[in-house]
Amino acid sequence: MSAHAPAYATVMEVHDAFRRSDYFRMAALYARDVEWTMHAPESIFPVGGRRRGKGAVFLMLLNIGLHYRFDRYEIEDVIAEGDWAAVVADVTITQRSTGRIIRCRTAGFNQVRDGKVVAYRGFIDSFDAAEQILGRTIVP
Amino acid sequence: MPLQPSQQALQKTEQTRTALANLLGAFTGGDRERLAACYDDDVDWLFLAPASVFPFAGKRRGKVEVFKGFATLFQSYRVTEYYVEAMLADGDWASTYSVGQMLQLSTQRTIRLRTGNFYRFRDGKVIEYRGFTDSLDIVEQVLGRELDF
Repeated sequence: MSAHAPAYATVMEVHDAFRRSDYFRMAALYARDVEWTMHAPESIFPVGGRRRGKGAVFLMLLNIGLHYRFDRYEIEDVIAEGDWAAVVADVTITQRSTGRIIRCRTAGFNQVRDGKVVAYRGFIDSFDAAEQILGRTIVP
Repeated sequence: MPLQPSQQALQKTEQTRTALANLLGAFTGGDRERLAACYDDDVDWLFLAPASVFPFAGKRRGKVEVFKGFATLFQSYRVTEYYVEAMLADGDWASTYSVGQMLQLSTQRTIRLRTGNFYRFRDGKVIEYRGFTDSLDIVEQVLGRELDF
């Protein structure tokens, strides 16, 4: 994918820092008032919902780390243009309390300004991920 | 310092942008014939949501299968609003972050959704598609009730 867009380098550095659990480096790449949304219900996913500001985002990341261990985080595709970069990743995590392994694909849209992420919009297949987290089929 | 894209890469990106704009125009305009022309015969298509609730979702291979899915979508829903908040084109790939509303014809309920869409084009046609949404939220909207966990 493109390495030409200004957003590309910042987003790849964010992902590299995340994979290495280097949260200080990662924090430096987010704007102080970053607007952060993961389109998933907060009642099941600690990562779900909206957050405003770097403090709230990193508190949420800390909370995820308490409940889940990241085993795999592989970027499948990056599409970058101008101040936006969209990333599809294959993620495997382990739920610490049950040992359940949850595998999902995520899609994230990052808007970058002056080398910092100012907005993030993320998706997972929340129905499938909820079934994996609960360890059972959800019958609608 | 970002690398400078080649003229060829810029041209490909512009072709992709044009192809995506054509596809989105056909989709929002309900022009199924024009929409069908935007997809490769052997398109690899995946919308990540439970097929038990959304018959059009899941993995489909080939234009015929994809349009069988679209037919079931349009039997049950009418797209009343669709706009793209962010559109990215990058070589033969494109992506959109979109906001939409659909009317569920059987109940007259309005379903609100946001989607992340990833398209790969070849010769102006979609050869690969990956679609994301908050599928749990959409299931609850479609059923008209919260799921009991």
